[in-house]
Amino acid sequence: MRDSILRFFTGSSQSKEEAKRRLKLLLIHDQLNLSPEQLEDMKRDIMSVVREYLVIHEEEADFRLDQYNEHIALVSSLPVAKVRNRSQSGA
Amino acid sequence: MSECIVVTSGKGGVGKTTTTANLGVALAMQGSRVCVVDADIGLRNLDVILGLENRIVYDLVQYIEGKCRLSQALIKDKRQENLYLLPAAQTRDKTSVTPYQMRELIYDLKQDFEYILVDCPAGIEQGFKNAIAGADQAIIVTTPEMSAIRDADRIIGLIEAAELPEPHLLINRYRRGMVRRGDMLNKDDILEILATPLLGIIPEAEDIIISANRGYPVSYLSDSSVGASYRNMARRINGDFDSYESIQPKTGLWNSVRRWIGLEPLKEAIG
Repeated sequence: MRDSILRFFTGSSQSKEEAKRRLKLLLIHDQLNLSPEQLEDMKRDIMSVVREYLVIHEEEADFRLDQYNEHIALVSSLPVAKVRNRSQSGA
Repeated sequence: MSECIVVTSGKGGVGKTTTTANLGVALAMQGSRVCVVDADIGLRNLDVILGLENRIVYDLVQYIEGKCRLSQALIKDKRQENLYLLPAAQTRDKTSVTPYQMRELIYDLKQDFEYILVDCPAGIEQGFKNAIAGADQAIIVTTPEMSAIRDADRIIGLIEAAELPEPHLLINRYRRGMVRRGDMLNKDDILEILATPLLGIIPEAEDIIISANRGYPVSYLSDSSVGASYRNMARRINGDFDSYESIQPKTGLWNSVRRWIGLEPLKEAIG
């Protein structure tokens, strides 16, 4: 009980919530059985497609797997700098 | 009809052997003829938990290799005449037996026993494959820790791949105080993550350590709440699912007061 009072005042969260969040992500990765190498290859391929249409702040690009309702989702955040001018791209 | 149930977990040290011994004792006490099989070849321990380590002459591998009869390898429990142990070999390794031979062994045991409980070794290699080979059902033992739950998830996948029916979960070493403080994953968290039906919960208890010291499984102790939890699970295995509801945590004013001041509530039987 002392701990819960302490938590109430300091606002620190329950450690089991952290465990639960970490476990869920861990199991998603375990179940997909996607190697880090494959994940990197996929990111590279997706980026190369997006690059044809948009200019992206690539250093801020983020890819991760997450739980979305009952499904595993690939969530990516690609900050857009501008739309690529197709005639400029030379494609 | 006889049934072979494998007790498995993936991770070591979560309580597979203790679970096998106690469920075996409880099922035998409730009138079934039970054989507990130690499939942890090279690291046998089920004999120690049951207090039968001094009676071993022959073992599982010797029977499989045709060096003795089944009746010679089986050890009758000291207290329960319905309960027998088939010990593992201590000086051999997991590759001494094949899944095919294990299926044959379980078939032989089914001629004489109603329940066969197989204590599976840790890991997902040969020993695991042997242990699940003859099984009709699986019980997954886990603790409320990330590593144990992760491994349980892996094992649940492998059980499914082996085309066994949906396994049941036993949550071991549950610490109510920590759960109340939010520092341990609770029952609902674990069931949500593993999406597997619950067989029961065993609290972290000194009784278990003391009974292991004595080679006297806690299921024998009529006044132990942990023993009651195992006996309750045995009733569920026997198909009496209502028994789960009949032993719930005691509430009442006195326990509420104890809980409020941070003490463990009196005599709780869960699972």
